[in-house]
Amino acid sequence: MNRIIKFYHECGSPPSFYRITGHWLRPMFWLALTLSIYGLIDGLFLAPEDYQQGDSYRIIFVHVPAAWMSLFIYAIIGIAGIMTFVWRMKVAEAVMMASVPIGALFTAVTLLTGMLWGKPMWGTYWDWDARMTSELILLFLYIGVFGIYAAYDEDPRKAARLASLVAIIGLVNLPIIRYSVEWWTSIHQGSSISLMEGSTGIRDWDMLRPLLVMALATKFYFIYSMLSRARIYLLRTEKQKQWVQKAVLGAQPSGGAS
Amino acid sequence: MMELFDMGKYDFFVWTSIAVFIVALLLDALNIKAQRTQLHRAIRSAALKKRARQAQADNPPTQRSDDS
Amino acid sequence: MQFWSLMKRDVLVAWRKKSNLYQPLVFQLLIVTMFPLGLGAGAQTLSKIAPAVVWILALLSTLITLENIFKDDYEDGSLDVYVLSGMSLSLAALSKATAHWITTGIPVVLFAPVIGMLLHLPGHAYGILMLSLLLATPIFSLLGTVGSALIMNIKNGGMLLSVLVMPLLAPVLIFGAGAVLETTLGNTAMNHLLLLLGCTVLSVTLAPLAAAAAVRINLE
Repeated sequence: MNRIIKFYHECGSPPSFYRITGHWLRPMFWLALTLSIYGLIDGLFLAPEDYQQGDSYRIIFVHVPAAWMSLFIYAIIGIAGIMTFVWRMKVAEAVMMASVPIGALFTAVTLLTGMLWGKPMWGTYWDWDARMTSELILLFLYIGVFGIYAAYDEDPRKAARLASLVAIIGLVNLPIIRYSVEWWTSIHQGSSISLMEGSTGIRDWDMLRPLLVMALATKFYFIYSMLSRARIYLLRTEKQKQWVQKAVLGAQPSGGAS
Repeated sequence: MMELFDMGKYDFFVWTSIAVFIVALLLDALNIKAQRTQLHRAIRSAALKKRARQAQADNPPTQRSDDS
Repeated sequence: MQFWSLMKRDVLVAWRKKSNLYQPLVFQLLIVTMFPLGLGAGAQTLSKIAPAVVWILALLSTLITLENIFKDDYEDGSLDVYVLSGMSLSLAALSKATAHWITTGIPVVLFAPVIGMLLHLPGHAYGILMLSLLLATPIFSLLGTVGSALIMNIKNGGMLLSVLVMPLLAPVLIFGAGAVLETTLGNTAMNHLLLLLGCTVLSVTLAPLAAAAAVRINLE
């Protein structure tokens, strides 16, 4: 228990966070790469065909992990936002801002792959279905957090605190959006079929396995991407500090996939 | 070989989706790499400049007093 | 007491500068003229889309007035004075939102039937239209106060303000425009109105806190 508390406190200080996470980047990146190569091969070539959706359901192996990540990362941003706002933790600030680009990217991938699945299934690239709509609004939330940070470029600490406030407001708002949008579609069009529901849903282990592998791969990639960006963020905002000089000049940049 | 890549009539949609996924993550990784290299270079050159300035302050060049 | 005096001051300032009062209404008139011209269709199409159009116009016309709720006070230093005078910032935010509602929200509610008439909104929907806007315009003002507090230090923050506020207003639009639509279809709008009321209550309680937090960060 004591070690966990010590670890937590160490992570709160930028130099220790930088040093500790330096060892994680490489394993995370390679795990993500290996798992996604395996998951994609398994999902695209080995998993059986869905009897109702045919081969088109294979989009699920990138679409659904990306969709899970888009929400998961927003939750991380919200939690880091609360820590930034309440305790003014520099590392939480870095984690929050570092999660925004990768979260927005996964949201965009979800939307694009959803559209590519919608064309053969619904007959149209875009349908105002509950999930698609709330995913689009989620993208606006990401853009909002990023936009307010970018607009205050002369004072990054203030910018991060305002961005954390926007993130917290979004976190409160997200359930309301999802509920209201779902309610709205249920009234007007009835629920449309979606990737996850499919015909019987994914029950077959041969279909589930690649999905879970891809979900893990995206998680690892998120950790890699987020930590790398957080480290860059810390270096950039603490440029004048002694530890940055030591970390950059002392040795060649550690960690990272080469 | 070709039938391995055959997705029935869904070729275009499946493969574009996979491509979107891969390209997006690739761009993200490249962006991280570019940012890191740029930042490291900036910090290093700032440190070099500082060191040079310090060296100059420690033993000022003699010609300067001659000029003025 | 400070609450009332601050609100009175804001309303008076808006009243003197008349453009604040009629700007949203002129905007609505301009845009509503575009609809029949663009659609090129008869009364039937118009009355079908009327609930949504009236609502979106009310929303957009409010959106263009939000940017300056805090900006002027921030730039001329009055905000610092409120803080120094020991006034609760949440209360100040609430009072600013109330003043904004009085000068923008109420005119929009009163003007909505005119826009509805221009779009051939069915006769029995006017009551629900005004009621739904009466519940929703305070939300516009309150969330607008939050957005305005967030961007008060930014030049040309109007676009950013829209990005920040739009996701917050999406549920309001769903419930509000939905209420009017259900009425025109002959259904009850009770569910929509109750959910809208819930949104109003939620934003009255939470929005001033968020706005105060944003102001505090900006003044640090």
